Amino acid sequence: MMFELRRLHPAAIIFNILKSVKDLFFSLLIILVATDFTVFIIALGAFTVLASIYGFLSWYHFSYYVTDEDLWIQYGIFKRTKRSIAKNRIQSIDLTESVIHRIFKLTRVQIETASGGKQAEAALSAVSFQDALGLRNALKNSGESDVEIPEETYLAKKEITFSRLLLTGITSGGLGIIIGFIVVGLSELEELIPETVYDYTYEWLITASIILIVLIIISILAIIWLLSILWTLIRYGKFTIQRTENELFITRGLLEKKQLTIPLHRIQAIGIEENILRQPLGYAFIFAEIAGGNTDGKLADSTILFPLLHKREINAFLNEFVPDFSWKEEDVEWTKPPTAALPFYYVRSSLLFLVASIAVFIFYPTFAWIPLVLFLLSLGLGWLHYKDAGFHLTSDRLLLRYRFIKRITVLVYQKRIQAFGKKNHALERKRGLASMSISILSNSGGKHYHVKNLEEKKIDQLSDKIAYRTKLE
Amino acid sequence: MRQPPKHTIDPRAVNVWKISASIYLGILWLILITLAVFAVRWDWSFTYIIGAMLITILLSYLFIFLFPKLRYRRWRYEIFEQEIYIQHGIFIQTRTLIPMIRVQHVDTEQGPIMKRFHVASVSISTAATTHMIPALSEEDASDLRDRISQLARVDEDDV
Repeated sequence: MMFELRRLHPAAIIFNILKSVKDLFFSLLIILVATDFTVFIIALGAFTVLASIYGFLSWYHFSYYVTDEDLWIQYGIFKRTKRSIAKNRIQSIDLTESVIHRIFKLTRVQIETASGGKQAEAALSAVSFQDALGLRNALKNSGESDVEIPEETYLAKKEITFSRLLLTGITSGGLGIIIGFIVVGLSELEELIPETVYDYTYEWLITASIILIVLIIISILAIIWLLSILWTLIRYGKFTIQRTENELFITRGLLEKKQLTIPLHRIQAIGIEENILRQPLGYAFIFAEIAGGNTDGKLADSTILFPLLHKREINAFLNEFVPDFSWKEEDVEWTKPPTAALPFYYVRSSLLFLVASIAVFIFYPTFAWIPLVLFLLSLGLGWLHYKDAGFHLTSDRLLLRYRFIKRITVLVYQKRIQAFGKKNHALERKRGLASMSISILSNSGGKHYHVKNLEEKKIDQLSDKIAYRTKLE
Repeated sequence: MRQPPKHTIDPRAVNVWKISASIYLGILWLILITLAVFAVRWDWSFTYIIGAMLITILLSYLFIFLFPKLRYRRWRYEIFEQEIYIQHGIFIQTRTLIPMIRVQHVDTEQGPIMKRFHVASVSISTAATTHMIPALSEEDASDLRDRISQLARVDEDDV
C-alpha cells in the first residue's frame, strides 16, 4: 500500500456543515417568512444540531487510500459506497484553497478522469497540504516501487505582473456584468421597499439638481467599475503558469487559491479572445479547450491559460507553453467572406434593432432615437463581423476567426475535429454562399465554432482537404 | 461536399413523420375543440378561438402534408471508409462530415410507430456531437450500425 488509509482533516466537518447550510438555506428562509420567530428559532436550533451530527458522521465515515493500481474512496453513513479510480485513468489532480482552507493550511483535492462533466470524479474537501503532496506523488507514481519520482523540472514559467493584472481588471467586461446584476437587483428590490420610502426619494430626486443626480450616477458607475477591478484582482491575482514536459500547471487567486493541471496532449484547441476594449489596445487573453476534466470556474467552460497578453507576446507565449499550437499572425492568409456576403451580415446583426426601432417609433415616437442609435451601432457591429470572419488551413491545422461581440480566434488540429458541417439556405445558395461549422471536444461536452457566409466553393475545397475520403463501394 | 450524399432514407419515413405529427396536432385539435365547446356553453368570445383554429389548420398542413415530403427529399447519407457524410434540412441545408475515427458508438432505435412500418433510426455519437439518420429499413439500419462500428473500431486515438 502506497498511501495508508486515512480520513480527511477534521476541518472537513465545517465544510460538510456549510454545505448543508447552503442546501437548506431556502427552506429555512421559508420557515422564517411563513411562521413566527419562535418556530424559526426552534427550527434553526434543530437544524444546527442535525447538521453538526451529520457533518461529523460523514467525516467519520469518509476515508481514502492508494494502492499500487488505484485510488480508493469509501463514504456514506447509511449507504456505504466504495469507489476505485484507476491511477492511469486520472487526468489531473487539482488543488483549491478557499479562505477557510488557508486558515488551517489545508487544501481541497479534486481528481479528474477523462469523463468530463461538471462534477469532479473524486473530491477530498479538506486535506492537509503535506497529505495532498504525498497523495499526488502516490497517484502519479503508477509503478510498484515506492521510489520518489524526481522533482519535476519546469521548462517555462510566466507570472502576471501587477500592472498587467490591473489592466486586465480595467478592460474586463466585468463592468457590463455588474451593471446587469445591479439593474436586475434594483428591479427585484422595488418589490421590497415600502411605498413611503419610494415616494420620499422620488420627491427628493425631483427637487435635487440635475447635476447632483448625474454625479451620483457617475459615482455609482465608478464604484461598480472598481468592484469589477477588485474582482479580477482577487480572481486572477498571482496568476502563474508553468510547464513541464507533458503538463501545464496553473495557479491563481488571491483569496481562493486554485491550482490546475492540464496534460498537454488533452488540449483540443487554443483560442485568443479580444474584447472590444482590449482589441484597440492590442491585448487579448488566451484560452484552451480541454477534453474532459478541469472546469475553471462556473461561468466559462474554456480554461484560461493567461489573462492578458499583448499581441506581440502571444507568439512567444504559445511557443513556450503550447509549442504545438503556436502561429504567427503575419503568416496567416485568411480566406474571408466575399462582398456578396455583406448584406447577410448586416441583416443578421441589425434585424432585431430595426424591428424594435419601428415598434418604438409607432408606440412612443419621442423615444425612437434610442433603438435607432442601437440600430446604427448594430450595423457597425455587422460590418465588424464581416471584416473579422475567416479561416486558414495549413497542412494539419485549421485556424478560424469570427466575432460576436468579442473577436475569437481558434486553432484546431484537423485530427481533433469531431464533425465538419456546411449549412446554407436558398438565398445563400443562389449567391454561392454557405456557413461552416466544426465541432470539437471540450470539458463540457461538444464545442461548436461557426464561420458564416463564406464562399461555398471555398468551403467545399476546405472539406475536400479535411476529408480522409476513401470510397467504400 | 460538392455532391450530395448518394443514399436516400427509407420512403416509409414520410408515413412515420405524418403519423407522429398527426398525433401531436390531434392533441392540439382536441384542446381547441374543448375550448370551442366551452365557448359555446358560456358565451366566450370566438375571435381568439377562430384565430387559433386558422393557425392550427396551417400548422396541420405544414407538418402533416408538406414538411414530411420535403424532409424526406432532402435527407441523404453516404458511408465512406473513413467518414460519414450526411445531408438534411428543409430550409437550411446542412451537410456534415464525421470522421470515422471520431465515432464512439452507434445505436439503432425504434419507436412504436417506426416498428409498425418496419423502419429504425441510426444515431451516431462522437465525443462532441450526435447525428441521427431518422429512418432506414430494419435490415439496412442494423447493417449500417454494424458496418460503422466495425469501421470505427480501427483507430484507437486519444479521445
